[in-house]
Amino acid sequence: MSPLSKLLLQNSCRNVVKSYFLTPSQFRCFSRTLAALETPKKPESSQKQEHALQRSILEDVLLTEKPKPTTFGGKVAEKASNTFMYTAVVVGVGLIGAFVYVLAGEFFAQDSPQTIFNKALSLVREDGRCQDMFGPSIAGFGEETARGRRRHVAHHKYEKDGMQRIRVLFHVKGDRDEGIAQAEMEQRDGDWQWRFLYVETKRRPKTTHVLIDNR
Amino acid sequence: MEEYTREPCPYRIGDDIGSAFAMGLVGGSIFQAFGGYKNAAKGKKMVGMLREVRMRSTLTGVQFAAWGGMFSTIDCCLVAIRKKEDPINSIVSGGLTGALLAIRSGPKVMAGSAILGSVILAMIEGVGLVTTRWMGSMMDPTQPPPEALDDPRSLGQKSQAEPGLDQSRPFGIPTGLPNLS
Repeated sequence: MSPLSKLLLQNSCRNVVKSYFLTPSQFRCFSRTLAALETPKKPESSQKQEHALQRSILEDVLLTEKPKPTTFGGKVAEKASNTFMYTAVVVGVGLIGAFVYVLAGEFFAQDSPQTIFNKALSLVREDGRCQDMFGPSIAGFGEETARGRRRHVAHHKYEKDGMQRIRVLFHVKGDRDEGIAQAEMEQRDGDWQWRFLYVETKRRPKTTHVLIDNR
Repeated sequence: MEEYTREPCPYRIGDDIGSAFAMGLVGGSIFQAFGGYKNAAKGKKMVGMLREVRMRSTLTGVQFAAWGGMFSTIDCCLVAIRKKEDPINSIVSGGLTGALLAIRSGPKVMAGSAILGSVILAMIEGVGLVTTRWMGSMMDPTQPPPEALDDPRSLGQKSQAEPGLDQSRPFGIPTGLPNLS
């Protein structure tokens, strides 16, 4: 499209070309339009190029449309493949949901080692004697792995005298000293209750402080 | 002994950067090798593939290292602040890492990448929990039930029966005496 015909299409200054004598306002308009037509739109085009370069594979996959099938057989095949894909997605999402549900149930259960660790640690932190022994702020952590993670809380689940019990062991550390806390819970009438909770310093002579003893 | 008991936290960041770089390098080499082979000109497939691997896989490694180092740093910060080590730490730091590394792309991308990061980390943690919880019983279904533990000795003697009296011994001999049988 030539600049002149473009000019003709401009809405704002329609009567510019028709009139032979230009009023000052028309002249201004005319020159402005010409200037606008002449200056190449550099920044925009370069931006577009950049976008084309930066477009990812995912975008390509999402934006390109496949040609629609015209024959009956092609249509049936496309529908079948679509149905299969949708079922696969639904099944996958369902499986992940079930996995997450089971995992969350395990994680937040009353007898999960993590829950017991959390409760016991908050009890230890609030206890005045423990604060005297270890320092005002007490950190709690589990067993250390080779990669420096200390998230795994040691625990042992067993049955004794017909009761389900779980024993949990974790480490506590404060500014003054560090020690080991042991806790045990027992299922009584379907409810998990403390059996004992005590802390012991690691350094000898070992000092023991019993927080809970419901044996 | 000092080596064994020291705090893992600040040193762990270096370990993580290194292992993430190695992981990215190996994975990136494999991935770029395929792309390089496909895109290279005919007759220069091998050369093109090797050049692509040489030029791009280190970049992948560096990106992985940035992720790992950021993740570990935030994880250590969270451990220091919360004074507790549990899976929540790593999930939160995965999300924060995703957000911080995408900070130049704007809030929308940040949110997406944060969600992606935390979901991936949550899945890793979940798989870890599952393997520790169920792997043992799956590997050997015939293993005996876990043995019962005795009460720890530091708690002292105490039983449900009346203190000082034991039903199994005659004349109410106190339980404090050593059991010779």
